Amino acid sequence: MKLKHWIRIIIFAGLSIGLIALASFVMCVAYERDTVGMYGYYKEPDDSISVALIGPSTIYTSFYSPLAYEKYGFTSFNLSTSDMMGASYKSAVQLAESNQKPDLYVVETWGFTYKDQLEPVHLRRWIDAMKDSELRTQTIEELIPEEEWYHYKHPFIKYHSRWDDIGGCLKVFIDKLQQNRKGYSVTKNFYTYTDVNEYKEKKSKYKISEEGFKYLDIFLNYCKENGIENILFIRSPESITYEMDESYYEMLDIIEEAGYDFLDMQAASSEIGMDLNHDFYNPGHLNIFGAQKYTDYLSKYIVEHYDINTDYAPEVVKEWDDCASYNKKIFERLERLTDKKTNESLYIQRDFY
Amino acid sequence: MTLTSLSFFAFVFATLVLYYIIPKKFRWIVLLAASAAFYGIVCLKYMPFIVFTAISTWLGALWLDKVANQRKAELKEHKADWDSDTKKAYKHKTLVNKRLILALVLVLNFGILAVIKYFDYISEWLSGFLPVPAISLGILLPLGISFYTFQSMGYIVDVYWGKTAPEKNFAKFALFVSFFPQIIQGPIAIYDDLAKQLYEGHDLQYENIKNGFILILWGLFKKMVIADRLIVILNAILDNRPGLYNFFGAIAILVYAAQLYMDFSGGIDISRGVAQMLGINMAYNFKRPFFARTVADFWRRWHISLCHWLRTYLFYPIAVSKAFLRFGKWIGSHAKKKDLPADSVWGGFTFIEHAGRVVPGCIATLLTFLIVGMWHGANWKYAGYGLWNGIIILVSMLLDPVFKYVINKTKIRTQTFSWRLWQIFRTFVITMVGFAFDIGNDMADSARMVLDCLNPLGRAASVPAELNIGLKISDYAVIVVGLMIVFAVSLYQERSQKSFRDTLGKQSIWFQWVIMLGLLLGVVILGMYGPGVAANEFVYMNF
Amino acid sequence: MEEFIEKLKLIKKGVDFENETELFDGGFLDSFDVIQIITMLDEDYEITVPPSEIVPTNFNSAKAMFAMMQRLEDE
Repeated sequence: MKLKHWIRIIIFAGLSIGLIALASFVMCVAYERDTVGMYGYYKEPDDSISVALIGPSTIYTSFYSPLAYEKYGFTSFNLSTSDMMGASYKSAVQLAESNQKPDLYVVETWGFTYKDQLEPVHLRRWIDAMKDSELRTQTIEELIPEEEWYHYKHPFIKYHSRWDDIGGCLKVFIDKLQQNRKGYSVTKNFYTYTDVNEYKEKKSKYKISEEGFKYLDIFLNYCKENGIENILFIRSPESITYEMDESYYEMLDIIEEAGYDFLDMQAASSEIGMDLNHDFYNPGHLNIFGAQKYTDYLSKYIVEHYDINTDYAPEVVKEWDDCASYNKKIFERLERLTDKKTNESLYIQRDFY
Repeated sequence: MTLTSLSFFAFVFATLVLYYIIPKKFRWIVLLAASAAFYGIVCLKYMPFIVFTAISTWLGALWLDKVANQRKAELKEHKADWDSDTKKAYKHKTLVNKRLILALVLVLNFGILAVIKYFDYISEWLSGFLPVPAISLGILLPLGISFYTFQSMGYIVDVYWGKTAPEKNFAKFALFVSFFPQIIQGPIAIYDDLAKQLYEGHDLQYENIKNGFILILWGLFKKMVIADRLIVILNAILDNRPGLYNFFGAIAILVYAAQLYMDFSGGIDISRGVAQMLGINMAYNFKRPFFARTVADFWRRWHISLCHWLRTYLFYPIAVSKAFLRFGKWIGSHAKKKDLPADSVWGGFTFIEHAGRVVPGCIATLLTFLIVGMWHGANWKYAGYGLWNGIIILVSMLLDPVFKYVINKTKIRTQTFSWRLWQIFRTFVITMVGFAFDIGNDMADSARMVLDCLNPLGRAASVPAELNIGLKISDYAVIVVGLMIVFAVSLYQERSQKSFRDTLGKQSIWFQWVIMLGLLLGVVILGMYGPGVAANEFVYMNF
Repeated sequence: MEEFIEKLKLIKKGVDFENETELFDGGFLDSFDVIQIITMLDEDYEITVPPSEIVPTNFNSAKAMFAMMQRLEDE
């Protein structure tokens, strides 16, 4: 074998590995919205996030971080994926503790209502939104049965079959490139849907599941052991009329015993100014109108009740000032689309401005 | 560790590295170690079987050789002082001895194969009408037993015939028996073709690495992208029988044929590609079988190594045995001598003369194909499969002069494209009927499947409401495009009779890389693997 | 040799035995024809062709067959 043959082999090997790595980067998308949203988390500089919000879709549809910064001066980020369950909360705290150590955690209680706390499709969305790291591996080993580890630890084994949805994958890929170019996400893992739901009375039961209690305990124990001082559990407002099960009150007791706080935002609906006919895009989720009110109320509550350090490094201030500068433009646009009921799912940076 | 698993590729890579690092003289030892390791990893429990075959064959061959040498020496020594009667008696005695040794080895090894393969089925079948209980041996098939048994028995027959010198080194012989790229599903090699390549160390050659690698990719493409999708369709149809015959039965047969070919030839390609990367050229097992124009031609293109083996060690020995030659002569002796022109109905002979010439061969053919059928499994339907093919060939041999006569008289032009297409089509249909036997539950079921095809719209009420079988539209598109690609390559090979890889190798390196990367990405992205996809074993793995 | 070719022609009509060198590989002769030739060798020349000799190289041309015959006669 001549030298030129070895060179050819090496070049071919390089091309192969490169192309497969590229394919993997583009195609390993569990759920586009979650992948794009959480990608932004890793772009934030260390020790720059003051408040981390954890929970399923009620978090990322309701809380708009740049608005909180503009009005109340603190930085925040939604550690939130679709149908995120209580079992995932601990790893979210671990993630935030690893490089941010926020002053406050806001935790959505709805995550503990899921009966199957380890439901694979939803669990996967959170796990695959995590960057490959020791924490991710540890989370996989804690929550996933051993025979499935291989395709969690090497997601391409599962996601190579996404080739026929390459449009969705490319959308994510391009957004990641844009976030890279800008250096950070402007919308900080926010999602909205441009519709206004007509209120119809809908009844349901709010019940904490058995599994939910198990993972609540795990979560609280972890936080106490690791010296997490400030956690504000919240119940987000909805247009569904819930019958509160006694397990719900049990949960509140457990939270109180652990020394953490709780805010019932559903009870505070009128104080927040919730308009059941205008602020929701479906019975369970706020639209852009509702999100603005929610963000304002919750942020005010946070600064009034907690000592949030807003002494940020200059580059952090520069970044957040820039993000906040888009607020007016973004809200105007989203409000217009929502009133027109254009029924669009918006989560890509480009969608907003 | 199947041929499509990552662990297999890691294994092959390690073997390759070791092979080319070790000095040339000892490279065969690397192959032996790799083959032993492979067999141990996949099938440790049943390893004694292959060891037994290796030892018994090796010893038997040495013994035969000893007897043959002794015979030569004795005859030479007594050339002068023995009369021809003594010589003849001695020759006869040694021949009987040789036959006994050969028979011993054959019976032992084929016996083991037969018992393991057929005992359970025959026992169950007998218990159906005799007062004997059905016993199950509960033994699974040792890996590759059908292949390595045939391969070893071919070797000892070659030694018996004096065609091959026996291998004195047991380690080397064990390598021949167990060579890992072919242990799973062949091809069945002839000793003279393979052994030397195994034992002599090969230089690291760029062409071998590159072309071997491309062949592996091609095999993976056929198996993981096409065959593993087709099997989803096939299983969906077969799992819903018997309500789904007629139209779906025809679909099932076609899908089965495509799936079997992609699976089997894909696996063979991977094996041959691995061997090529080691500098070893293994025999072809497929040569674009669906382009065959006659059923006989089909069997020269499908599972070539098995048919070659059967032709060499079964068909010819039977057909040219004294008994059969006498039989043919006897038939012919009943013919009245007539002087017929070459273009008469039976091709210049009377019918009886013609029969005398072909009947012995026909019987040998029938027997051979019966074995081909039964080799596939323990079930009478497989015998049916073999007989179907055998009878078609037999009939075509018998009636061949008649066909030629009719073609002559009706002035059909046989050199045209349309005629060739007709031949390919009719061979295709006949072959498809044969395949129905593979997927039917038994003889009756298979026969029903075939007959139902004549009535495609019957029982339309049995069309399932649920057509979602786990494949998306994109998967069907992949199947179609994949088949088209394979067809295009096959067409090129058939028309040009050239190796596709050789032609590819002559293009610019960038073009080659595009094709190779395309294949690689095709396999990695489109391959059916991952959670939710059961790893599909190769069809011929359990033979 | 000519006599031999004449006999071959009786077995299979329409094949160019004088010149063709790919009789078996090229599909001009098939297994049944080979059996016929072996029968003929047995009847007319009293030569027994052992199965180990039944390989394409021995039957690809009249010359090859003739050489095989002579080899077998000598044994």
